[in-house]
Amino acid sequence: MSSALRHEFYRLFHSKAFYFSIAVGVFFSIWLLSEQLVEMENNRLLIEKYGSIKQGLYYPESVFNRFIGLDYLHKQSQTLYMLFPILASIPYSASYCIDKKSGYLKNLLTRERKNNYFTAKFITVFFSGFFVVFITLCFSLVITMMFFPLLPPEALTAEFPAALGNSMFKELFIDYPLLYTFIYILIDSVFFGLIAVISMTAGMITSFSFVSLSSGTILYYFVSYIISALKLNSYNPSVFLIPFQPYENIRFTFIAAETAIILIVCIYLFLKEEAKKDVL
Amino acid sequence: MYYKYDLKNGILYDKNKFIIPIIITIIACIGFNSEFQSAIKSGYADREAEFIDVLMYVLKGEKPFDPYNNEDFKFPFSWLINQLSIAFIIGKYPLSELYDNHGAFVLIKGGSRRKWVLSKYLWIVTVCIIYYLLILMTILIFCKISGFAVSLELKTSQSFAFLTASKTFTGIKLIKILLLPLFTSIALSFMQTAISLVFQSVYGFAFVLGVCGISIYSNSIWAIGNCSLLMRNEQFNYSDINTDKALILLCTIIIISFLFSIIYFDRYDILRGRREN
Repeated sequence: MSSALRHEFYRLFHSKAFYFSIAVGVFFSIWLLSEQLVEMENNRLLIEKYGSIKQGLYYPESVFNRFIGLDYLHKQSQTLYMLFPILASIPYSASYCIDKKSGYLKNLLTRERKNNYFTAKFITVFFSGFFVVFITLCFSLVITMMFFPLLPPEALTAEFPAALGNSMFKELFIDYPLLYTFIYILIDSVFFGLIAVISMTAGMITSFSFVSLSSGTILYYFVSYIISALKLNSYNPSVFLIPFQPYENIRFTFIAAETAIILIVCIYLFLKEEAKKDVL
Repeated sequence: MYYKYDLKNGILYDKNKFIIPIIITIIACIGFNSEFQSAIKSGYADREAEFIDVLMYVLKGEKPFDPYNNEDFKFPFSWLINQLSIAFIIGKYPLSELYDNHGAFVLIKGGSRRKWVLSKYLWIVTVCIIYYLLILMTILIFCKISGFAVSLELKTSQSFAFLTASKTFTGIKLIKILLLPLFTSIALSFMQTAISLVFQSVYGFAFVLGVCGISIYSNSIWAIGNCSLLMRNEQFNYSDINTDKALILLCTIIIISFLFSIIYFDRYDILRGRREN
């Protein structure tokens, strides 16, 4: 098992696609930061010239409303969250489909037990998506911390949506905002890791790597479309995965339930059904 | 010869994929019906619904993103899923045909790389037209079942259930607006194929998703997805998205993407591309 895992992780870390996905995330983080810094400078000049009275109720920018997941003002943060399903799938989720089609799978199975190969593939694909999202969001958090202070969220300013109304983990966000941010980064990384696993599982029924790669993203948006048509936005993954929580009434139980359903279905299909099939 | 081959392999033998626009449109039609019924119940329906109202509802998208009024913003899932479905259909066929199927032999038999590219781009236009025709047909059937009148005149209304302008729309003006979603999809698909040719199909798909994302959250005509979000057109909303400007921009993108692909594919090493894919 460990040799199969080592081999899979070696292939993951040596694929250009993995670094491409991270580079896209890093690009969006830097693009957002550059726009935020220009705005901050304009604000500073305005205050210098006219005093803070010109700004109305002024509360300085904080990491907790400028970090890419908590920024609700700019297009970069929302676009990056839209791109995460495909960015998480690009690095490694088509590898099973490619292994199968190229015949590499048969070669591997002469050296490795079948169950070990499938389990190692499952774990590696999950972590490929997990790492892309985790590294991108951590990078964004670090560069935001380099330019903005860790000012605690102040609900009265209405600049921190997660501190308002009936938000999930509201008290945690107000009292320990850094912990809240870190928990949300983990939730996002796990969920998008599972989207990569869905794409890999689609490789069971197709021989086209493009179809396998994009199927997780298509399914993610199709399910989101159905849920939004039913007006159940709190259950919508493309809503509840955004840390600033654009809609109220998001509950951790919904997130956990949807994560568990995806995990169970993928384990059943890939590790039980597909692993049973005769490769030769 | 190439085009006939593409029609057969890319459309006739793979027609299951065209069920996607029908499902999406049925869900959107049900959404329209429920909004129209609630407008009737609350007394806000000042006229009967017609075919063109349902069509506008399906193609309208949503209002521009306003960060200071986040609760009011609705994500245009219906529009996004339509664009992604087209990108999925387009991404699946042309290059996989070349790398995974016997498309390379067909290319040799035809004897012209330029004609091969031209045929693929004609196939893309055909797929986009079929996609929107299926949307139209589904709406037409829905209107027949629901008893809505079929007319090509967008009448004014004060009701929230309809997307209307201050004046009644007919003729060329209406057709130009209705052509915007089709032209946007063709332009996006052309760009997607050009990118797929240089890199891989999945990067072309990711590019379309990125353009759609930027379009949803900005209100500029340069984010070309906005051209097909009819609700953001200057006829229905205060914006700089003018129909003529949008059509010129989209045609320019279509021509540039096509010329780029012709020139690039002329010098393209197919065997290397096959290995890398």
